[in-house]
Amino acid sequence: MIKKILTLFIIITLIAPAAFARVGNPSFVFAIDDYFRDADSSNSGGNNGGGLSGGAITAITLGSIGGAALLGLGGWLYKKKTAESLTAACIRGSKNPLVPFCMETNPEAEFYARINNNYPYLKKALSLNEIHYCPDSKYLLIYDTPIDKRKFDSVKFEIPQGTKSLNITQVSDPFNPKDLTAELFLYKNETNTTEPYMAELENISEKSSEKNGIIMKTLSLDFQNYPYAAYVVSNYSDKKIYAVVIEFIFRN
Amino acid sequence: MKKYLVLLMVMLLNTGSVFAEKNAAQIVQAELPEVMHIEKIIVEGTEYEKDDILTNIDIKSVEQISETCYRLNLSPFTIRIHTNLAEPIQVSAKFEDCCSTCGRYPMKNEDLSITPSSYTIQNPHDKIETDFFTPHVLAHDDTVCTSYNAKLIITLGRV
Repeated sequence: MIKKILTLFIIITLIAPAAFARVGNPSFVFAIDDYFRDADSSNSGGNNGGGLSGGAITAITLGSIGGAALLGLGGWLYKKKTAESLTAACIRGSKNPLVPFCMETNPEAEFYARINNNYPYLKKALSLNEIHYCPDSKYLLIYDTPIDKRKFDSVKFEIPQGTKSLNITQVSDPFNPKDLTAELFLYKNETNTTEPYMAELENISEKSSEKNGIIMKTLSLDFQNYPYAAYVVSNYSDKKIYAVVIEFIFRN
Repeated sequence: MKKYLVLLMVMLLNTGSVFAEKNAAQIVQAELPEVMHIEKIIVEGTEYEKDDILTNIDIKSVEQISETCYRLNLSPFTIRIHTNLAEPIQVSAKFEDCCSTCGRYPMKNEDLSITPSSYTIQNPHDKIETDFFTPHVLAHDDTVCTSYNAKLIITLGRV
């Protein structure tokens, strides 16, 4: 019995190396999004449009922003198209980019009462930073908005002339890293389809905290060349609620 | 005495030739061990061992198959074989697996392919190198934009 086992062992040890040498298991890593972003960022050109009239006082209508389905490669291309106004559906401010507004200076105004009573996420987002008033800052508010799994929301807006920096505060349900992403697309022209993606807020900032669902980012750029932007929130995991405060800061 | 000496020499010579014939017969009958190994996997001039991580594979081009489907053509690779066989050899390559690095988004097998799936080398020799294998990935609307870990299986065999 022992002899048989020994013989079998010897045969296996003699044959096995040859057999293993005939099978290779190489592996590699590739990134789909990197390719498309690289390809995309190599595009250039386009005219710099004049922009819309600044200073108008508008706000996003209270309520939910229509979310677009799809994530991934198709979703990324679709998001890019919606952000570029190629498709008007599923994006707030696609045809006419939203214009930031001056915040209400009266703390007793109904504006704040409605937020405090109905929109806890937006209330929290507003409470995380000191509110500044015109002419120092203007705001865009994205009210408490549900976003389903594997969906994204887009808001296209105008960056007012004279903007020195953007301060973005997003409050949502807690999420794990990469489950919820926020991207900022900047454009030179409202209808320019060749001036694409420029910045992305990868949930990274010294103040960001994914565990409690807070993303904070201050972005200082020469916005003179980028009068339009699209803010895109993508949810890769379970349904969440989020709200965003975008402050346009005019002072240094 | 001389007779004995001659007889002894004849015997010695005869036995020697007999042994030599036997030895010759043994050599002729002995089989060399069969050698057929994957020596290297080569990607754009960079050589890897058979189980290595191929660090320079990326998307080389994209073809739009339909409105919602894209074919990603990855870096082609070749395989160098160490062999002493003179008979035809088949070299096959296939995707074993492809999944997002976070592990959440596995790709379907039908979306993964390598063209051609195999090469038959009719007259192999040592250090022979195959033609190019090109991995392809079909990306759809719901293909998540992220990094993917891909594993290949490369096999050698007689035809």
